[in-house]
Amino acid sequence: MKVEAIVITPGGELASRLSSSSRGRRPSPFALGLQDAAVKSLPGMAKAATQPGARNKLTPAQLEARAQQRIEDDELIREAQKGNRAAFDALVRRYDQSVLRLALHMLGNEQDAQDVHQEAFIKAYRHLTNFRFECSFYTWLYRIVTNLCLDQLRRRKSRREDPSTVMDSSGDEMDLLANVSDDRSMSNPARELERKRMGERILAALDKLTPRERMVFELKHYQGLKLRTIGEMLNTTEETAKNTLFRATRKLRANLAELRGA
Amino acid sequence: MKCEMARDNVILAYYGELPDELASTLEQHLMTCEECRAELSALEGIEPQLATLPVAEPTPNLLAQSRMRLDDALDAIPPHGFFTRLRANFFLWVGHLRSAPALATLLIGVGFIGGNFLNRYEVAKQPQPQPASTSSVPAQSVVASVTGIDRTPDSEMVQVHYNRIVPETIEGSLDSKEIRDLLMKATTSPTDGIRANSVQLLASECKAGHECAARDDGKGVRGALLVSLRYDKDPGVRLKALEGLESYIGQDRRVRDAVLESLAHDPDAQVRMAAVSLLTPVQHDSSVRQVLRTVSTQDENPYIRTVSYNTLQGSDSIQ
Ligand SMILES: [Zn+2]
Repeated sequence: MKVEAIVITPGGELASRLSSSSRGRRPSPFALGLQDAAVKSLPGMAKAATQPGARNKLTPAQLEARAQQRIEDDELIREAQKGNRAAFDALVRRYDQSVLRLALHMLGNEQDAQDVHQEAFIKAYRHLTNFRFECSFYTWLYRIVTNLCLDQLRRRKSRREDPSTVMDSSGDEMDLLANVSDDRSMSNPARELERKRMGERILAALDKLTPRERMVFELKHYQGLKLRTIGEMLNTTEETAKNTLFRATRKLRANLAELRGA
Repeated sequence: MKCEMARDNVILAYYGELPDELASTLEQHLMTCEECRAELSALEGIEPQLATLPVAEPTPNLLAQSRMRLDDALDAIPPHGFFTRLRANFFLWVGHLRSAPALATLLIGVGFIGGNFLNRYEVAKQPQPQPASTSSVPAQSVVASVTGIDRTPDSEMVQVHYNRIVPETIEGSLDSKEIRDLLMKATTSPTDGIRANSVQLLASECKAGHECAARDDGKGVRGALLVSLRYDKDPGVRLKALEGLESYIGQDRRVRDAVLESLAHDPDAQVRMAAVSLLTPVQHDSSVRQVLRTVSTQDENPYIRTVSYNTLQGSDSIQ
C-alpha cells in the first residue's frame, strides 16, 4: 500500500505545488526567432532573399540568455552526474516542453509524443555519466530525441506498403490538426475546412520525404535550428545536413505543386 | 555563379544561413537570371502552405501527464551515485518496517490515478462529508497482481487467482495514531508534494510539542523527520524537517548530528544556511565547532562561510 494523496483542509498547500512546475522557466532556446516570412515584391526580392539571417538571427539578449542557460545546464549536469535526482528533474523541466513540441509535430499524435518524451529522458538519465560537455545538453538530448522520432517514423514507413493511403489509413495524423484549430477559424466553418484540407496536404507532402529529410526539414523550418546544430544532433556533418535540406525543400515544393494541381 | 549553386544558395539565404560573402554574388545572379528568380518565388510560394501546419504547444494537460509518467519511470530506475544509493536503501528499509492501518479533520486518499492530473487534485481538495471511518469502494478497485492461473485440461475453463487493491480514504485528527502513522508512511512517498505535505504537518506537530518525543527504536515522528532531513531528495522537504527539529537540537544528540551532517554535506545552499543558523545555541559542543571550522573555510557559498566563521568567533569569545 502507498499513500497517494494528502489533503490539508484549511488553506491548502497543494495549489503551490501545481504552480511551482511552471515557475522559473526560461524561454526555450528552440522557441527563439522564427516565422517572420513577409511577402516581398518582385524588385526587392533578389535583395531580400540574400539578406543574411533574414529568418532567424538571434538578438544579443537572446545570445546572452543562451550562454547563461548553458552555464546553468552544465552545473545541473554535474550535480545530476553525482546522483542528484533534483538536478536531473530540473533539467527535465527546462527541456521537456521543447521535446514534446518537436515529437508532437514530427509524429502527429500525443501518445507517440509522450512515449518519445519518456524514453528520451530515461535514456538521458541512464547515460548522463557519459555526457562529456563537448556539446550543449540540448544538442545531446535532441540527438536522443531525433533518433527516437526517426525510429518511429521508419517503423511507420515500413508498416505501410502503399504510401498513397497515408491519410486514409492514419487517423493519428488528424489529431495534430485538431490541436491547432483556433477560435477565429472555428467561427468560420468554410475556412476551417479549407485550412484543415490544406494541413492534410502538407502532412501528406511531408510524409513523402524520407524520415531523415523530414527530420532535417522539421528542425530547420519549424524549430528554427542552425544547420550546424542539426548536423550535430543527427550525428553527421553540416554539409550533409545542408544537402539533405536542399533535397527536402525541393521534394516538398514539387509535392505541394503536384497537390495544388490535383 | 552557376544556376545550380545559386539555387542551393537561395535556400540557404531563405533560411538565414548564407554566408555574407556569398550574398552579393547571389543577388547579382538573381538580377540577371529569371529561372533562379522563379526558384525563389516558388520557395516563397510554399511558405503560406507550410504555415497552415503551425507548431502547436503541447497542452498543459499533456505536459503534466508526461511529467508525471516520467517521474514515476525515473523513480523505478535504480539510482546511481553514492548519495542516492544510500537514500534508496534506507527508504527500502524504512518501507519494510512501516505498515499502516488507519483512521480519522484530514483527508488521506489512498487511490489510483486515472487520467487527468489537475482534475485529480481538484477532486481531492474538495472537503468530503465523511464520518471518521474507512470506506472502500470495490467497484473502483484495481487488480494488483495475478497470483496464479489454472487451466482445466481439455476445456475452455480457466481459473485466474488475483489480488485487488482497494482505494481507501481516511479522515481524522492530527492527534490520532492512525493519521500520524499514515503521515509517517507518506514521508517516504515517491510523490514530492505528498512528502512535502506530510513532513510539514509532522514538523508543525513537533514545533507545537505534540507527540514528538525521541524513541529508542528511532521510530516516531522525530525519527521520521530525521530520516527526511538526511535522505529526502527534495530540498524543500529537508528544510521543513529541519524546522520541525529545531527545538530538539540542544537536547538530542542525534538531532544535532543530523543537523551538522546537513551543514557539512547538504547539496542545497538554503538547507545549509538554515542548518548553520540553528547551530548557534549549541556552539559550545566541540563537534559543532569542528564542523563550523571546516564549513567556514570550505563551503562553496561565501555567505555560509561567513556565517559559520562568525558563529565560531562568537563561541570562542564565550569560552
Ligand atoms: Zn540562374
